[in-house]
Amino acid sequence: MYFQYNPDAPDGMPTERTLWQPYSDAYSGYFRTGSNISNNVSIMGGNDNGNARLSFTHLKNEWIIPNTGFERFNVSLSASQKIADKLTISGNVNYNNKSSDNLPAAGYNNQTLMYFLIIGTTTNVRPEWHRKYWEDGLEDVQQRRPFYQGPDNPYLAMYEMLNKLSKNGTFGNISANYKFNDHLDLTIRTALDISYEKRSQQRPFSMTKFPRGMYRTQDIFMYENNNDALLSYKNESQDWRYSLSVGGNLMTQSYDFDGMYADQLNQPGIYQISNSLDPAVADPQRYVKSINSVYGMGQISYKDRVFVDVTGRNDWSSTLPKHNNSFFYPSVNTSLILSEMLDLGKLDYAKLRLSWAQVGNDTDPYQTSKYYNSIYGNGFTNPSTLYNADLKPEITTSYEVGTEIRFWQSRVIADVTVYSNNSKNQIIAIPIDPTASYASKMVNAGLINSRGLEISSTIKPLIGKFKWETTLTWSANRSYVRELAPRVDSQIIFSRGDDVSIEARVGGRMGDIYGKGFERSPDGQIVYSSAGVPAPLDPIAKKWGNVFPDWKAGWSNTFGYKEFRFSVLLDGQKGGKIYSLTNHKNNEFGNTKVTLPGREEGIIGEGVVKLADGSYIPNTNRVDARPYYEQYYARANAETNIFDASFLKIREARLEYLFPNKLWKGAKIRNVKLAFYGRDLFNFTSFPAFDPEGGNLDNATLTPGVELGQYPSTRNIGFNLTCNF
Amino acid sequence: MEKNIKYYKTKLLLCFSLVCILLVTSCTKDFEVLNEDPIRPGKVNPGNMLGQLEYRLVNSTISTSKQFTHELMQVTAPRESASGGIHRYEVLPGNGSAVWNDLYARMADLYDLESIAKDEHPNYTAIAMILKAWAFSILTDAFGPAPFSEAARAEENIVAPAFDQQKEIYLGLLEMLDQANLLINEEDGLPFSGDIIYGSDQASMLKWRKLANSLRLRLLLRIINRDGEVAVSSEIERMLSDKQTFPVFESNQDEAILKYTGVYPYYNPYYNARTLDWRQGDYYTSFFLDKMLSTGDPRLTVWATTVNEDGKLIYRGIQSGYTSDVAYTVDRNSSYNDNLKTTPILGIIMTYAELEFIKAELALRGFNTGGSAQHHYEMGIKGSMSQWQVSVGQSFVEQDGIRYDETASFENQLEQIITQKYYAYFFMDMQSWFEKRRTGYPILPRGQGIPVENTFPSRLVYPTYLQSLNASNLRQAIESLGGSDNSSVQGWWEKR
Repeated sequence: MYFQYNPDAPDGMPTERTLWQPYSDAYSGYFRTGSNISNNVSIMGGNDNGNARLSFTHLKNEWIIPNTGFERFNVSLSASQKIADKLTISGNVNYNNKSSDNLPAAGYNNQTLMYFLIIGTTTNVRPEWHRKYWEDGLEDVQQRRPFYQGPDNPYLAMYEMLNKLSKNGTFGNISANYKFNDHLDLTIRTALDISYEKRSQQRPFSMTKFPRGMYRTQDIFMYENNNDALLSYKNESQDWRYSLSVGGNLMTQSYDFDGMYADQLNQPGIYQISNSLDPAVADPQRYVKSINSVYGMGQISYKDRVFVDVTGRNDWSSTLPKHNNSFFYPSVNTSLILSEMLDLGKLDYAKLRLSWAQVGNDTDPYQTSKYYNSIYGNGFTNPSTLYNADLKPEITTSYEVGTEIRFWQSRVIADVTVYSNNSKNQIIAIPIDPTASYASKMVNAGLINSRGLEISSTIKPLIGKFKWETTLTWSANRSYVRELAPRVDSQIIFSRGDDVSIEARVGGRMGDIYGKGFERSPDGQIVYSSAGVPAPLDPIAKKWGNVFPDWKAGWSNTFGYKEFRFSVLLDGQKGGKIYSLTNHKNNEFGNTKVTLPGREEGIIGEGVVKLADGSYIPNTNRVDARPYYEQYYARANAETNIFDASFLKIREARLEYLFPNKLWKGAKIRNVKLAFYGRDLFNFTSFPAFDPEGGNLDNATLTPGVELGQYPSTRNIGFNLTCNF
Repeated sequence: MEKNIKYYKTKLLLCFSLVCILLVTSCTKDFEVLNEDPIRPGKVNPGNMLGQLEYRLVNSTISTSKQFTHELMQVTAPRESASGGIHRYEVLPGNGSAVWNDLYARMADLYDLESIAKDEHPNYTAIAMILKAWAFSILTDAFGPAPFSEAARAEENIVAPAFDQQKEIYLGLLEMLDQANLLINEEDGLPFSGDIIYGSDQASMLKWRKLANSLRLRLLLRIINRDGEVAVSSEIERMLSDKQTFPVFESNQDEAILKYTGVYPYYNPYYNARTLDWRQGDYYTSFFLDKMLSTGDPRLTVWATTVNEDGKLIYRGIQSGYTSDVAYTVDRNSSYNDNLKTTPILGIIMTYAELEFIKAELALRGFNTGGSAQHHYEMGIKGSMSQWQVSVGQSFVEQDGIRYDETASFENQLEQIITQKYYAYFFMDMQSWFEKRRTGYPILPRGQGIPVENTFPSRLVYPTYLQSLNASNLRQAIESLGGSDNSSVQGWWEKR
């Protein structure tokens, strides 16, 4: 029996103990059913000399957290017109607008709902008791936290901690094509992509992270201009077809960022930079880069059974040091239609693909010399990433062999691909020992090899009135770190304090997950302290697996009968490891069923105790459940907080009906199609924190292998109506 | 004819490619200008870097003091702690990583400041050296072996620095402070200003010399157990006998405290701290409070909150190292006073009081400090009072429990000095822990909830990421500790 909050009692303070009263909406009540409404209208038309297409899309999203969502408009027009016998001009323009009055914040921190749900509430507290989020008479000044003073009131977060966005962008290109004759033509094209984005974040007074409120704005102007010229020649003779093109491209990209930060406000509730208590801090950033390129492509085919494509490209990038700023990368692709060349018996079709390709890459601007960062408005500090005046371009070389075969009147199609990619001189800011005074260093990281196998097969068992098509896909990939940089043995891809790290160690796989585990006796038993809880962890971090799956697979089935179509897609993965912070917290707080045993009578942990003389005896100390589970599932204990990420999902089910056109006789409507669908309907997994695909969305970057306060994943159910006129 | 057309086409293709290449390459000429950051400067003057550097250094050391030292040294104890914890002598990598990361992160600016000012403004160089010596001494005293001679040299391509032994680090630091003291030219001052510890007035560079020498005396006394292996006594004598060359702190005016202005950006780092974090997680221990209560120590009013007990406002402390079933109710015991969140005087680096306690012990050990151990002891106590802006009369230092007993044994006199020094170390990085390890004082009660196998820690353990980023050097350092990165391994100066 407990004293529990009672909204009807004075100050909510009950006078009597009552049975623990859980509420079914204690967690779910903070969410709502989200919605996504999308409308699209397209018009197109044309004649011998030209054509045009206009499209309009509107999307409105209301997310599962109240007062969050966004709205988007897209309009695009493309047109092409032959204005003279040999000259065609065309252009397209797209305008898009995205706006939001509040985008949700993610991650495990004091500004997210999940943080509150994990550490700030219990099952006997109803969401509505938090609904009033200002203290009486202190609106805009002091938030109301009726129970626990830790995390911010979730409704304050939803309705006052706003992240706004408004973005206007337009991109398009104009081109002219001149046909000298049937064989030779020249295209000149200029393309522009510009966008202007205004973001703001506001935080009220009394918030944990910003006790005096906060207001920040960011204006972002992005610009990219491409100018191309391409001369193409094509011809064919009896058995041969061939073409050759050469071209050049000038690309300029710029990014202008103007941040203004007022991290303490003078007056509450007024969100303007001029309301800053301290001098507002300006954070300007400018990036400009250019790449100039020349390229050529050649294609040749013989009797439609042998195809060879060759390309070559040379780039000059402004981001690389002068002595390394030019790089060339070629490719060769070959396809052989074996079924045209040999007698393959019952096979209807067989194709062999071979390709070898290189891709070169530059980096971000300003990585080749030292620049100081500003701090506190007018101070300067050394950067945390060490520049590199000798950066080289990175080159990825990939080899691929694939085959496609068809038999049983092409009712069985199978495709197998094997590939191997070698990334050489990959440009990364690799973490280095901070005692060297930089947190990371720009390097050309030696050699990373990634290889894989992809198989897919489609079978059409029924092709009559009743149709059935089934497709199976399976893929596996392994990436190995062959070399990093001189004297660097490991690349930490992600780490969370001293708890867990995802690394690429030389000789190991990309994405190996490291962390500490129990101290164990020589015969492998868990060592307990004399207080009865697991002893401090073994200080040596060990590998607990790899964050990437062993394999992934998918299975789709489509059934058709008359105007009905029904399809189901299953997919899943086997293996992969994830460290779950959400599950750690829930175990630490005793919110999970695994921490139920021993709540009344205490626990004697199974293992040994180390004596002063170094010998071990069985553990016989009984200890309360709380300290036991706190230590057993300690945050730094990777051994008990890393889980298998295998899952099987019913990814999509869809039922479609095509109305017979005769229904609309007289009206100009055609092809009216109505579909009902559900996405992410079911998820079968043993992973304890919602969704093994949810991952870690901290600071807007998604890191596989770590789950930090993820939102529950959603099931989408909807319908779709399309018609043509 | 056909051939001619082909020839013409090939020529056209060739010409076109040539034009493309020329056009494209001619445009790369301004690439070098394009790749210069238009916003961030490539060069700064020393005054631009110094203020933020001092501020961030001090913020990390006082934060270590509150989070680690106070709990370990039983100044405070957590309100609630079911298992583990520093107060139960359980040291995890997370306990040391903040101070390790913060101090090493500042080395980039410190080394840079030292070198960019070297030729024209050596006073900045000297300041960088003094702050470096201070920071490195904290690192080695806390961890033992640590990167020193190869630290902060990533620009020379040393991305995984070797660890130096504590002895080597100490010899280097003593040398560094000696040089800094000689390098300072008091008349030159600081032409780009920027110093927020001593300001930019005429006397400020003399104060930096005093800090260099006072720190040097601290380090020499710290390694007094290794006298003979290193010439400690003669070095102390050399410094004490030549006050012209080796000026030290003479009053509270000289002490190194970064005064938080309360104006952006130099706020007291706790000024916005939540009550939950500031004073509802930890409470003072009765061990810490009882001695102050019995002597009427006025610093109590500055440091601690009172609680209401039957209408009376009293100071009350809690136990440290308690068993797992104990949890204290919020706000029913004394904790950090809220005025410490906004006070300017929390940015403590080294105080006049400490120097007097150093002299008291040196006098006790027979060095000629120009005064008796008792004199320095009393000056130390009074110096600490002035530092916290309270004052006591002579009667305070003559009362029972404080009065210096010159007739007591060496050990008892040492205990008296270090016990008062312990109170004077409030909010000063980890010095009280270092002195406890060197002298054994103050004697701390051992709580019932500390597992028998846990010993009082002699060091912090290294951050876990070093196993990934500097594996072979870390392995060598751990071998030199006896094979295990363990908190019970004693430092070089600690062994008696």
